[in-house]
Amino acid sequence: MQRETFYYNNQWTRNFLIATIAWGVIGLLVGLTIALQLVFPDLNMDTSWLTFGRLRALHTNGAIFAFVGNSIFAGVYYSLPRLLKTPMASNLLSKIHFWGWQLIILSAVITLPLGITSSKEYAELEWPIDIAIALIWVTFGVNMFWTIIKRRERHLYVAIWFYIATFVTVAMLHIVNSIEIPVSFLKSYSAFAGVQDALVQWWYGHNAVAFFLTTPVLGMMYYFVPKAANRPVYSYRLSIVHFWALIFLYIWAGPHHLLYTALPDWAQSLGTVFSIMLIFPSWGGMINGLLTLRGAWDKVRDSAVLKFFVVALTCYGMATLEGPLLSLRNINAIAHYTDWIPAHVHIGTLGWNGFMIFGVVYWLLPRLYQTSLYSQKLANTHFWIGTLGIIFWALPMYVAGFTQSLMWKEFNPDGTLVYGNFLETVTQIVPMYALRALGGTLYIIGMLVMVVNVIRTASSGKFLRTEEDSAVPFGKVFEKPRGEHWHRWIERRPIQMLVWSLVVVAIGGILEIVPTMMVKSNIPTIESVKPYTVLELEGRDIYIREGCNACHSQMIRPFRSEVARYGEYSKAGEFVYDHPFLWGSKRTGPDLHRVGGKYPHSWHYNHMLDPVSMSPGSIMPRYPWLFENSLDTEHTQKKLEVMAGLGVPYEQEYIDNYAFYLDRQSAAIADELREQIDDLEIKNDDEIIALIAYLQRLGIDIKAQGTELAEEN
Amino acid sequence: MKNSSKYYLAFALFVFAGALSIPFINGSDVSSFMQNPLTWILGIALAFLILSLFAVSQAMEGIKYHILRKEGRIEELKEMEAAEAAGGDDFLSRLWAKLQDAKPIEEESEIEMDHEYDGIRELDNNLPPWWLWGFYISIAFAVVYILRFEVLKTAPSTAQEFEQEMAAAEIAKEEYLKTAANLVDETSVVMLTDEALIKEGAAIFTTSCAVCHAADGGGGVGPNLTDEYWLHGGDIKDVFATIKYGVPAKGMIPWKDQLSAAEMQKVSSYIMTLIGTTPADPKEPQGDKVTPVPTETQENTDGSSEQEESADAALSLL
Repeated sequence: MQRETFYYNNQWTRNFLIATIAWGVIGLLVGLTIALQLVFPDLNMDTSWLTFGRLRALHTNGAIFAFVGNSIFAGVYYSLPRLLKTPMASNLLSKIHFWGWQLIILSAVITLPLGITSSKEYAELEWPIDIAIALIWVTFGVNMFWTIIKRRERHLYVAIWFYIATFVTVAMLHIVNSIEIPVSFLKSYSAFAGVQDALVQWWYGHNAVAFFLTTPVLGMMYYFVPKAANRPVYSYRLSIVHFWALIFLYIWAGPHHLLYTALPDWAQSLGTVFSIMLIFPSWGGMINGLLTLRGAWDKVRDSAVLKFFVVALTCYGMATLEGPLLSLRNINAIAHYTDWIPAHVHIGTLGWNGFMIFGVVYWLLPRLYQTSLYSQKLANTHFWIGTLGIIFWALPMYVAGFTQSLMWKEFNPDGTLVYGNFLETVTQIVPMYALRALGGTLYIIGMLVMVVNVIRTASSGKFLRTEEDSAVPFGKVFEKPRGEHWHRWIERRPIQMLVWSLVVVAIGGILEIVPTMMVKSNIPTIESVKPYTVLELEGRDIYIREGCNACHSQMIRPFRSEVARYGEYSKAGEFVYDHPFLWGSKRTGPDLHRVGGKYPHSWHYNHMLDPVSMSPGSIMPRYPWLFENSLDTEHTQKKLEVMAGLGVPYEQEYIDNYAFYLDRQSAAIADELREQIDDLEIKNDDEIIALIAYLQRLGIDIKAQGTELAEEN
Repeated sequence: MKNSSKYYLAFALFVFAGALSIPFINGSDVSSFMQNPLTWILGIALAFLILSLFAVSQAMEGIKYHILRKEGRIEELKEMEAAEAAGGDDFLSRLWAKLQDAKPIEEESEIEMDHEYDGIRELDNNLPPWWLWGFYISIAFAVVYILRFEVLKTAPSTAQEFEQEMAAAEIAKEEYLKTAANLVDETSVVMLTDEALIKEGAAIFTTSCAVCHAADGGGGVGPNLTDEYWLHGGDIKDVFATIKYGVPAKGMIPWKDQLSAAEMQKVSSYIMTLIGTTPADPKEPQGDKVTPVPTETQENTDGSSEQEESADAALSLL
């Protein structure tokens, strides 16, 4: 075989890298904004598209899909061709991939602040964007596999195993979790309800962390760490064992996000044990990275790139030990719903993802621009500010989470809660929120230092658009060497790699989700649970639009402290008409599952207008637009029809005459409000009426004696 | 240290991890587990066990070394020198070397794979024994956990855990109620006169009531509490009941879950002292007129003068 010369196209690597940095800064600034809103609620500006509930989704999507997402593609478009000794197969597909992904992010930037959301965490984007994501993701996959097929290297390196597993698993997760029925161009309802929806969502949500924030980044680690350290990878057989163990075990662990919820116990237990079994496969990646630096530790002192990698790998190890421990029931009982969880998550994103990305940027940029880094000193400064930022971010949140959790659970000897007013437990930790915002600020300053360094480096060098390389293609006939490791077999068969990865990751999901869907006993029926009225359904959509579930859970766990505070613990059968489920994952405010009937209408009215008027010291935003906007009923009938199609028992008569039922209930609520509040100016079709209707319905169906409101409905 | 000691160590680690996982497996409270003296005795005993296993192992090595043939001794010495070069000869370094089982950097060419990717070489070090054993232990944990929680059901389900917690709380509460004096409800509540207690009532009023009734009781969303007109009765018993059960139809929420009986008594008493005061921005009277003077007070020497004052103030308004 003759040696062949070919040219890598660095253009898309460079573009993805610029997008990484630009979206990274934007995504983290949004994060800082919402962090400050928790300290200074006035920063919500009384403006719908600037409120915490809406911006929180923008921050998470921006950090995950724009910041880390673009960096993954930059890493893949650089490392994949070089590991396979062939350029990316199609420049057109690369182009579609790049611009398509940026358009998707742009659409998120527009739709999320407008309240166009499916409400499912990290999958908030509405159905047309979901379809676009699927198409662009497949474009990426085709480009990758086409390149693999044209390779000049017979065997696939471990980085590529991780890329393949990432592609196939994210495709599976995204498609299944996004099964939703459109109501209009920008509104849909999840096909799943309640417990099933929660299970599918956290199967997705957990594995978005696993297969978007972990496996592709591990793939990048396996390329850039040995490159930067100029050391051989520590252990090939460790790569094999931890790769297959990781992708097989990860999928099962989703239910650990739902411990003590209405999810059946057996699924919760699976979530716990598979999380525990994940510790060592995860650590396999960490030690294979850290031990690759054996004999290069003297370089770590001087090289900012290696310093970033070392801290990134250490944070990865910390987060992947902490995660499984949080999956133990008794630790989860303390940590869940508190700021402990964001602290845990940010060790992963700021530490592992962020620092891996920064290391890659500092390593790659001088090579792309045929120069040396403008300033090593600035890069080292970035490292130290960033590290300090992570510490200031996470430590106060651990303290806050632990403190608040203990306050939630503290009882007086007479059986009443010591902190019966939820707000007391919030005001206690607001100083910690301030410190966290300081940590975020430091981290962003570090990034801005990097931006300066990047611009200076790029402008001092010349961009290397195409890069020459040569290699000998492998022949058709392969003679297996004696004593070959068995795993080499699959390393030269990319399609088998794809298929087996899919098989391995599909097992856990199927065995957890299918029984929850099919076996009736998992969700015992409660006769008295009825569908929402049409007005309540519209109110629920306002709740979704405003992102209330970002701060309020609707899932009372079977603990004495929660039953005393909120009422009877939540049962699986109560959520059968909840498309989508709204259990939430964080309690910045109190749980709302049994808020129905707890306060009079006037309380909610005043509270939504100005929370401080009813709860002095509250950090909840004001919602003045709910008092100005009229309820949009353009799609109301269609909503009922879609729900009926999903099995919610709305009768045809009800759907046809929805307007009558809607007006009747809103008039009743408005009249009651006029009675309770003097000189009230209120129209029956104000949005607030629908929201009050929904809130007053929450959790009352199973109460033995319904309130007046329930009878009225 | 030869191969044999690896197994002692592995065994010790296994026992240790197993012991640590007991509270997690049976779902009991971690903190009470850590406070239990038995835990500590067991821990110290385990530490001694591990240490003695190593001492025995070391002694065995020594004996073996002395009875070895001469050639064997030389090989042995060479091995020890190599180990020293790899990272010191102290106990911890050797322990780590065993647990890590890494080929020394000088010899790594022996285990280098015969392939490279874009210049990236790969070694084929053994799986670190500590890692592998950890993985096995985590799998063992998983099997035991599933057996106990889902197959044998010897550990409580989440619902059973809840029932146990509630039952224990109920017993504790009853015990407390037996010994606790001064328990009041709306039939037995009387006006407090101790100034300190009234002050505590005032503090509760400020945090919980002032939003709707104004800081000085003059009313806002809720009615004026300083006049002698009452919507739901102006007796201390009526006020107590109104606070306790609320008047949901009118916007007054029930406070029984947020305030204890004693707290409600304090705040009710404070409210009674407001009658006749002059708020900054009084709301118009609502409800029926009630004789302003409290009829019943709890015996207390300190509070009498204040009570007279408020009564005087009320009379002066008439």
